[in-house]
Amino acid sequence: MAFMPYIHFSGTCAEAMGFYCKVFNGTDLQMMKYSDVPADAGGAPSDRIMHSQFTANGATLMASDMPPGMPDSAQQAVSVMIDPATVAEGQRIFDLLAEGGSVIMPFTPTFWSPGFGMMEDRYGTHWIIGTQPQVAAP
Amino acid sequence: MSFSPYLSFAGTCAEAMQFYAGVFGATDLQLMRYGDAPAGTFGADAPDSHIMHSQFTLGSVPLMAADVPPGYDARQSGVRVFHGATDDARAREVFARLAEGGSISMPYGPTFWGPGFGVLTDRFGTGWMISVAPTA
Repeated sequence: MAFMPYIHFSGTCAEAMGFYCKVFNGTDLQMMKYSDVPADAGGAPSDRIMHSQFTANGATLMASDMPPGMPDSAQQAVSVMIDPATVAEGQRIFDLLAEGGSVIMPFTPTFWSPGFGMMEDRYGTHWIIGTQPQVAAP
Repeated sequence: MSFSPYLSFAGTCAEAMQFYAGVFGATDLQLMRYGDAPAGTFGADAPDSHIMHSQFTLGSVPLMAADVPPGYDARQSGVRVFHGATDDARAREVFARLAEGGSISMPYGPTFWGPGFGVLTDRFGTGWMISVAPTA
């Protein structure tokens, strides 16, 4: 059982998920188009993505395009939060995702995380990068 | 590492998260208010009683949320929270409780890809996809 973010795009799902899969070193990117599915099961003659997902380190990210003809809704008020193990990994991910996007909060130390930042990437996805607090060795 | 949804509200975060924790049977809800943060962290915009960060966990997976400072638009769109319940009966119960006072986009029922799936927007504006975890 889990809570997982499900992102809706307006035609850029394949490009965005291909990019995210590389950023997070995912290996099993799956893409299913609306045209892959019978019409009576929600399919449509469209190359838009009906469902896609990949896993990275056991975590799953899922996304789709809105069905053709459905009203678009740009992403708002939900962010995808990731918790890299190290500041260096957090910085790497932040820099990659921020290319062509807009930084909401630069990646810096905060009182709750040694490396924390927020941005909206070039596909409209909002990200929170929160490096795990470093626990002192026993 | 995990991908976790982080929800934004405009003052109803505490009420919404208490409701969600009840629906999912979580007992570790944490609510941190803007007034709890070190002075000067967020400026003077956010009411002290609003939530700066909250979370509860199911297993090891967190659901996290906050109230946004005044002036930010907190209407959620374009992202939903996907939840895979342990069985069909539990999925139906979760779907029905979340849908109270909300709106159903796709009624819960069998689909070609699984035994149970439904989509709704709850009364706090959060979008949900409720499904049954594969039993294989």
